[in-house]
Amino acid sequence: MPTSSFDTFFACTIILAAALIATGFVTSTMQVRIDNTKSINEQSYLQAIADHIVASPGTPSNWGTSSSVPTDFGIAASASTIPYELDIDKVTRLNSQNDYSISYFDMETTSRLNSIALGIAVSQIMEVSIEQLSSSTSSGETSFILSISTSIDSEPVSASLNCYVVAKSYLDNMTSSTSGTGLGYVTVQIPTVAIDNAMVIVFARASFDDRITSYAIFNLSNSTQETIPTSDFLTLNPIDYKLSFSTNSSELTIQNGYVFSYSHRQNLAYMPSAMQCAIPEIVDKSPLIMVVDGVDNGTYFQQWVSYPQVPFDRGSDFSGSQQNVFSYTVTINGVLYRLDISFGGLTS
Amino acid sequence: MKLLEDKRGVVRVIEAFLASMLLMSCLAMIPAQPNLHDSTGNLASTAQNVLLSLDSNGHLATLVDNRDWTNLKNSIESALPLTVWFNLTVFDENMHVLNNFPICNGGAVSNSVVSVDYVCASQNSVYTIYILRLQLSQVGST
Repeated sequence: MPTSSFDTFFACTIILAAALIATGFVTSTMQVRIDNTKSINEQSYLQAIADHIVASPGTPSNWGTSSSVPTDFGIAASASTIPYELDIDKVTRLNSQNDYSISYFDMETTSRLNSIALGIAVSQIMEVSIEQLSSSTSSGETSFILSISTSIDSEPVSASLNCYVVAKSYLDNMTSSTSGTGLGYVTVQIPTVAIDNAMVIVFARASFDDRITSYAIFNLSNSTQETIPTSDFLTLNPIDYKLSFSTNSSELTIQNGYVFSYSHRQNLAYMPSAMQCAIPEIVDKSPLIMVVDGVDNGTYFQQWVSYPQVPFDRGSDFSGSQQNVFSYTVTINGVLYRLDISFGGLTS
Repeated sequence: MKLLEDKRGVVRVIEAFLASMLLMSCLAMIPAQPNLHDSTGNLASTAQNVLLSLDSNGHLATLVDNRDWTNLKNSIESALPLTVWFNLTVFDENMHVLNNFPICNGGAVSNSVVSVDYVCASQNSVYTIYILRLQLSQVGST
């Protein structure tokens, strides 16, 4: 074989190897570019859907005040002048504990999400935790010392506290505050005979912004904090500034009803024959807590519900799958809340 | 020995080598695509949402009026997720910096920083204009 042929073969091998390496390099580079472009498009697409849900009142614009299903899903307050203001009833109807809540299927279809998983979570900006430190009984009265901590994203914040004690035929309120370490203490005294079902409602208002007002409920009889209301005796459904009751018991009698906010307390005007009563529109930057007590087959009960009915986490379970979360700070009735809208990945 | 002394095909090898170098250098000039994924678009939207929501009742402008930088920091911090770094700079209408100490939650955690300018006006009779520049960065982004 002549030397020139050998060199030509060697040269061809070099150029072929270079071409193969180049092809592989271009393929991997272009694949990264294609993936990034797809990801950016996906994020923009999902962000636009989330923005629409937050900024649009939906159709009809008052779908929150009735039991109807919207034709277009949006949870913004209609005709609002406040940016990112949500409708109290639309948000309440997203909570599955409410009898008027819309189904996940309706949320999906009216959002025009055909094959994308959806999740909506609304939470209070400031977390309030209550712990019982001690209790003592003397002269027919029981005293509880409660430790109350306030934090935002696990960072302690100072807040002023307004606490209500609600027990059988007993109402009281007291004020306190948490320091810069986020810790405060409250001493509660109630008649020992009224301990069953007694609860403490704690409202906390951040020192730097009165729109950051949160609540927490502490059950004194079993010394636990209740994050969601129970519905052992009846279900309380706040909607359209009316509180409706639903129960399976024919022996149940409602005796009293109260509504609490950070600064105010008022009795609910309950008619024994009616299964609903009006919720007063209290002018206060605070969530409302309604407490109803009564007797069912001789058993005294006391139940509560918040309005708007938050916190809640509704929709798909994203564990083990792709989750695109879009967080918003929103206003509901003058109070700031955190809204997280989650979507699953787009099917290719 | 005869093969080693015959230099007639060497030029072709040199040509092929140069061609390969040219090809490789062209590929090396393709700019690397930054991994944009989700952070920048979302962060800009988050920054606008936070500023608009917090200032819905003139709260931010009131804090700036009072030069209450601590509570301004607390307000911004409360509205942002824990995984987001922020730095807020307050300017007057002539773009002079008003805050005399940093309003932030630590040092920048990423090179990918999103900046949003927001104009607000005080609620008092003077009607002072302020420009708030909020810079955000996602912890863990490149």
